[in-house]
Amino acid sequence: MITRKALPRRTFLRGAGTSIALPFLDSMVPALASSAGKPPVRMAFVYVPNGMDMRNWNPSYEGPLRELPPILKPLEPYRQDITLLGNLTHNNGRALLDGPGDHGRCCASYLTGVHPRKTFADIKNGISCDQIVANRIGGATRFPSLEVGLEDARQAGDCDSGYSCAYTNNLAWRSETQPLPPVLDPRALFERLFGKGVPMSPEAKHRQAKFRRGILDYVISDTQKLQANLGPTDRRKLDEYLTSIREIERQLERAEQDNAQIDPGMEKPYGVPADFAEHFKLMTSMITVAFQADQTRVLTFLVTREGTSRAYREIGIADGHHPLTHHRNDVATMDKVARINSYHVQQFAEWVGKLKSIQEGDGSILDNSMIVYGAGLADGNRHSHEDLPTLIAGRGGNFIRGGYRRVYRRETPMSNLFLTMMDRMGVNVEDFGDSTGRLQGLDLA
Amino acid sequence: MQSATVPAKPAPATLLDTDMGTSIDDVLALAMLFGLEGTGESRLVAIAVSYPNLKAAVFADSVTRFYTGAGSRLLPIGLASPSPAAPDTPIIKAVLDRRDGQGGPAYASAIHSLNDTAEPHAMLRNALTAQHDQNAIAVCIGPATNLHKLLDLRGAKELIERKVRYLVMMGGSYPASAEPEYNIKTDIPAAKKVFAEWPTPVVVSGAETGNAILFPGACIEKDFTWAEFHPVVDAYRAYQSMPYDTPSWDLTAALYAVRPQENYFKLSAPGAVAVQDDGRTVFTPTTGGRHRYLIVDPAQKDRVIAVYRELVSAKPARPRRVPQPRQQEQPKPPSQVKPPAGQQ
Repeated sequence: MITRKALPRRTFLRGAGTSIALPFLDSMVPALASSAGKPPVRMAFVYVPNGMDMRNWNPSYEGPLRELPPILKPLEPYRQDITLLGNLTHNNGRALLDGPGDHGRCCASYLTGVHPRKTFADIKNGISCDQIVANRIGGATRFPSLEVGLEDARQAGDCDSGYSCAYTNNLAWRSETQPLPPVLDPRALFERLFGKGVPMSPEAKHRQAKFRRGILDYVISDTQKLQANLGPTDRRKLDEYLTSIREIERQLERAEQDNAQIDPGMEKPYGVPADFAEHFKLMTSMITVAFQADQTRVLTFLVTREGTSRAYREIGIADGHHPLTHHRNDVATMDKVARINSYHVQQFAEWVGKLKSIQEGDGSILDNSMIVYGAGLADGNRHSHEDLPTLIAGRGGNFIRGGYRRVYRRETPMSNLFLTMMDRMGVNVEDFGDSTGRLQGLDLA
Repeated sequence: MQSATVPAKPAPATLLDTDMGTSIDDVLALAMLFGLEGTGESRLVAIAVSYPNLKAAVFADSVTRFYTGAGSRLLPIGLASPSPAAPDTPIIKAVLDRRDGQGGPAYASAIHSLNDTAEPHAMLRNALTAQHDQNAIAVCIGPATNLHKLLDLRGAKELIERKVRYLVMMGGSYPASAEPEYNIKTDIPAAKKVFAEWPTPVVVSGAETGNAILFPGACIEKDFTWAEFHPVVDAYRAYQSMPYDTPSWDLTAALYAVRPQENYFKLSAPGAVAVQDDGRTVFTPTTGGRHRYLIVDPAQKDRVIAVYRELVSAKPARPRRVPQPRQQEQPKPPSQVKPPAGQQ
């Protein structure tokens, strides 16, 4: 006989100015098994700029993954959770008679599969695949999609040989003319996720900081009530979840204090850590919580803007990223590019590890996600748009094989991958961008 | 504000769809197209192979690299699905088995597996997107398998209409065929679709045209002495017992495609080609029809043969080279590149 009443999937802990969605708990699974009790599948895109040192990205083999190439080494513990794809091409990132501007084009076309209009005023692109999915299924979550990034980026002006900064600085496009700029400030993302939709005033922020009250303090009453009705496993899950939120708050506070010490008058967005890795971790921690609580199922993450000349002094590289990629085949310079590429993957791998560590249903959040990590250029020196560096972390809910390198025939559109992923998200469209069909061999069948 | 810079219009781009490896005239036609590239009259931008054998793609790549050097700017060689695979042919074997003085392959190729080739319809579509409007010419000298798939792609017909001046096909017999011709018979649905749906003018060269103008085998013995190894020579010698002259079916199509203004052939009145269910072709004159067929002009025959010889035996114009790394040391193998601190 079934007596236990399932906890609604949309349960919130509420308090003054705060609303915290809950992670997927066993208590939410209806006592009778049904598809409604399955964890959601998420689709995410993590984009890194300026191509990749392909010498150190592509393995020399196809089939089951063995030892990973140097850039991918940080993902070694998660080898069975990733799929490496070869030969995917974005033809619409190529010049196609539009002359220079590969950085602008490759970023604009990455998730749209469309050749953007060369302009820095009347921009025109396509609707990105994440937004097609968000439009169809976004109503099931608090946020149809999230767009995040790490580098402050203007939205207007000429960023690449006549291409608007809107092209180089955004991944998600809601319409042909409307990009969705990424959220860069961790505090802004935090308030978006855990506030009630209204940004806190500077006075409120100050008051909160002064009295050192975290958002969990505001929901303590709801928390205690809920805990009393949970089994031990769910209590542990809830505790871990709330602890992670507390930790995010602490990281934010630290970043804000550090910023104030460095330069009280600095223009850096409120709460952005000075350290790249810390910033990456803070943003992905919040995305993790957002995934956990099913606040969104669609994410785009523009790690840094396309064409960036950011230096990576954190790892001893004072040269700008973009100039380095035009290495003229100088091996020492190419190795610096490889180190930057690997540094990015290192941050990504830590996030992958976090997602893998969080149990959800019969697997982990990672198991129920499809996270594409890649770039819109392959060789940043030649600006090549074929064999784009592409990996998928996660299995999309027991859909993707994992632990495998699959190479497709040349000129296979990247859009074919996105079409297949949209299918998996339950959004069936006939074609997308310059697709020629679905990508075969990705699934377990 | 739009700031696209439009470069000057280059020579017309040629997209070749061929069953390379089956008969010698495909090889001769490919050599001719490179000869016409050497004169600056056209640019070969895509080669799609319809003979379903990976080695046919390797063969096409080898010939291409012979003319363009290792750093070919061509898109990859497209290959129709090689499953089930067709057998190797004497032409293919002769070229791929040819060894240089050191015992290595005489002709280089970068194709080692199916993944080194492209899906032909995607490759053809992508090649078209990079051309100026009305500055591309499609040449089909094999079954229309790849063009059929190209037409099935969303937006392809509009793209073709915008970019392609005309299609020149070798296939069928005109004005009517008593027997189905090989290219048509090999993929009848494809031929039907292309004749019915290709959105720009189609000029077709029937078997009778190539039968009437033979490529002279003597050319092979006399005109290629400048090359120690030449894939056209090796292929020609392997195709039949020397000496022999051979019908110039595919050469007629390639030559007309690039030099329509030279009046090497007469043209029929406009009309429509219909493909019967058994592969026979019938041409019906119609006002405003998009199809025409080539007619041999006896007065031009010797001139055409001389042009064949000149273009097919032309030396590679400018072998292209891949820029070499300017490093002083050998590149480290991937495993020796040091990852960032903390990753070892």
